[in-house]
Amino acid sequence: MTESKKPEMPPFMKSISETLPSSFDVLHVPLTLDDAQVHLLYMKTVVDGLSLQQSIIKPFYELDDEQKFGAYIQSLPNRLDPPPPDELLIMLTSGFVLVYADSTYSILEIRKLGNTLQGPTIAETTIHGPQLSLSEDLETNVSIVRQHYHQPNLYVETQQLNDKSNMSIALLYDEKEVNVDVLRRVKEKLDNLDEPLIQSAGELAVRLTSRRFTLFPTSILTERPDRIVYNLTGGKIILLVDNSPYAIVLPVIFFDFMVSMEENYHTYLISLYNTLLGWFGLLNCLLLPSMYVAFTAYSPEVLRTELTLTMAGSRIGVPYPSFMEVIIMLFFVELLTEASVRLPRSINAAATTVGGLILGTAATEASLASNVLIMIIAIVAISTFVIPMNELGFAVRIGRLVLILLTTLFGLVGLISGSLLLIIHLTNQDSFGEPYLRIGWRSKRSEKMVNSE
Amino acid sequence: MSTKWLKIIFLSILLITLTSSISGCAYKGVDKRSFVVGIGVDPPKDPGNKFRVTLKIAKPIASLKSSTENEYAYLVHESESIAQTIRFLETQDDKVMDFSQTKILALSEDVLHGDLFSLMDYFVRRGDLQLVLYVLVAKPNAEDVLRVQPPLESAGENALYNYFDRTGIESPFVTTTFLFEFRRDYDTKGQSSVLPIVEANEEGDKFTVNHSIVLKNSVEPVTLTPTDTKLYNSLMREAAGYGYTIDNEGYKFTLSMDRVKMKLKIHVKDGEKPRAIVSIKAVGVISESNKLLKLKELDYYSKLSGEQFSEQVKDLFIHLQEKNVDPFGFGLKYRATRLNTKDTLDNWKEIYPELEFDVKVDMQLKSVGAME
Repeated sequence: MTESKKPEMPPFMKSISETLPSSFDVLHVPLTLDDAQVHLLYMKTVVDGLSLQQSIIKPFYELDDEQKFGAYIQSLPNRLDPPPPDELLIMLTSGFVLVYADSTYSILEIRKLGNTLQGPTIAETTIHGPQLSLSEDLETNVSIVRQHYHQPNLYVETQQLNDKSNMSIALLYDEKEVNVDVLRRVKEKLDNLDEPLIQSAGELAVRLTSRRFTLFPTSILTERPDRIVYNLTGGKIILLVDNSPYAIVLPVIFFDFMVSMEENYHTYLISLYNTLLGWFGLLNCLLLPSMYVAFTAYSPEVLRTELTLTMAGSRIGVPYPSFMEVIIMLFFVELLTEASVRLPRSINAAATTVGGLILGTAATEASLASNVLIMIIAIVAISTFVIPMNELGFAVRIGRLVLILLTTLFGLVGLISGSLLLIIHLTNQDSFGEPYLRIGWRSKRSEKMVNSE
Repeated sequence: MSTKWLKIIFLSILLITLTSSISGCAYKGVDKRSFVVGIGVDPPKDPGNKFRVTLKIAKPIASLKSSTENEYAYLVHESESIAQTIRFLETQDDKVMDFSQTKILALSEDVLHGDLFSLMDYFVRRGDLQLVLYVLVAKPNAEDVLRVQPPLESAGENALYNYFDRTGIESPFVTTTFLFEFRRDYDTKGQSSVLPIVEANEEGDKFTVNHSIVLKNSVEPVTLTPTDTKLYNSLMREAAGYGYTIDNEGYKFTLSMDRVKMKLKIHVKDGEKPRAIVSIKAVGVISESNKLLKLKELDYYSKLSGEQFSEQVKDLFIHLQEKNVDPFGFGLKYRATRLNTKDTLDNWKEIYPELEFDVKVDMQLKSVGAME
């Protein structure tokens, strides 16, 4: 089809088409049959071609009449009246088709859906819970949530981010449960976002917090539909972002991070035990390295004599003071963790083996680190993974460096005041107006709205 | 913005310099400390001095598996005071002496005469010495006791700790006295402190801990025999165990006690002799006998044992009364249950030598220890 043979474009469509860049995927398709003439303008790469063929092109040739076709277009459920040109352009880039038929303009959503495939859960795996995570498509995700939560109170508000990505986001909440103040605050934040480009849920979550230098996250990123529903019933707001398999849960309190979804799928004692394990892991991860520094360098009297002597013995020949030793070994472990995240799954195991086992033994053999420390570092590394939410794990990994520094300077007193500092920091924080360290004194039963009448 | 960053940079530089200069003050790596595990005090060999102090310093254990036995270093010095001696001994060690793990204070029998406050003062005053260290009396002298290396002592272990901290042996013959307890009882009017006696054999590879010694500043120390030590421990420390021999009406039992409890009451009335009423409740079993025993007669056996037991206790009380020491705290009981006037203590001093002991034993044997 060459330009010369192409029937003349209607003026409005022409002006739109001129503002669009001359990209290979911008298509203007005139359909002509006898007198009837219809113009389509769309971007090939974001429009579902098969669906376009089925719902527009084929009926046109079957109906064989411009008026009838116009009426048909008017009746389509995915039809909208064309908005002002600026918005129209954005809509075209996100999978809408501009149709000129029977002297009226219509805009039809024939979007090529993104990745609607639900992958297995990666970041928060459970044994007994649902095994599939969210997909990467907004609509699919909303439908996943709806299918998990059959309530008419579930409100879904969609809007577009006004950055370069123009990503659609959906705001989900249970209208009965939601805290209106928080909802208002979140909406304000969303409207006032001033970021050139936001690409994923994680990024949006960061931009939504007002403080820049904050250690602890003020929202949870989750990939689990069951966690989303669990939080919806608790009155939280869920933000779904197109093209991102993660949902943002807000507002959160500190204790939300210590909930593993697995806990809901076990008997009381088992889940209590798991919760305690999680807390124990958190404390281990946060305090153990600094405790090592405190005990080896300031107050060996806290430990039993045998342990003190063993620790002293295992430090024989270690050239650096214990805080250097701890920082070096912690740094190694951080590298290992990062490496195992970056590497493909297949090589992953090799990296951890080489790093963990061989480096550890070699470090003690070369007396760069004491045996006791290697053990502590291993415990700390494992404990990091016991913390149910990844984001908290990151915060703790940084927080413990502060504790080590304070302990190095002031000993056990430093450790205690450092922990106090952390608690003060947490107390001072809030998540969209919710106090961060609020203790939710609600039973699981009332949280899940069982017997709510 | 720039000033803020400047502040941050300045602070981090400050922190880095502070951390690197940390080797000075309290920061002292565990490998740069030498841990004193025992202190011994002996009479001096040179009469010009007052004390001879032995420090037992533990060598760090590099690997528990490869080291077969404990290695200790001993530092000995004499001078006029304990503080001086320790200060001097510190110059013989390249590392900082750390007394925080010290749990043994061995005192030679010969330093126990006279006033012990000047001896105790340093140990009580020094901050890093813990008041829960075990005080013991050493025979033949403190240095020998500290130098004993029992063949059963494995690396990373201290045999003397095992005697006293009840993680190892729990014997009614072993008295455990902490430093704070020793000082408190020594100082309290109407109470005497009791210390265990640890004897080292001549080869230096064995301890025997079954005697104890009663100390009070104004009187000569009184050594208790193993039987008396055991009685004292059962009654005062509620220690239990084997070995209470009863010989009454042709029966010879050895009892094994589970629980022994003692209650004191002191009756002083005009015209009567002052009496101490001691009621003891003892629960145990017969673990050895010279005759065949019947379960039906258990009450009779209990009565027999009770009579004998009360006699043994009474003998011990009278023995201690004669020596004018009071480890059971009759005086303290008297002082605590009377209106305190300036005469209370003097009254007690008059009463104690005349005190009569009325020992009632409620012996409850639970079994004859064998099937019929």
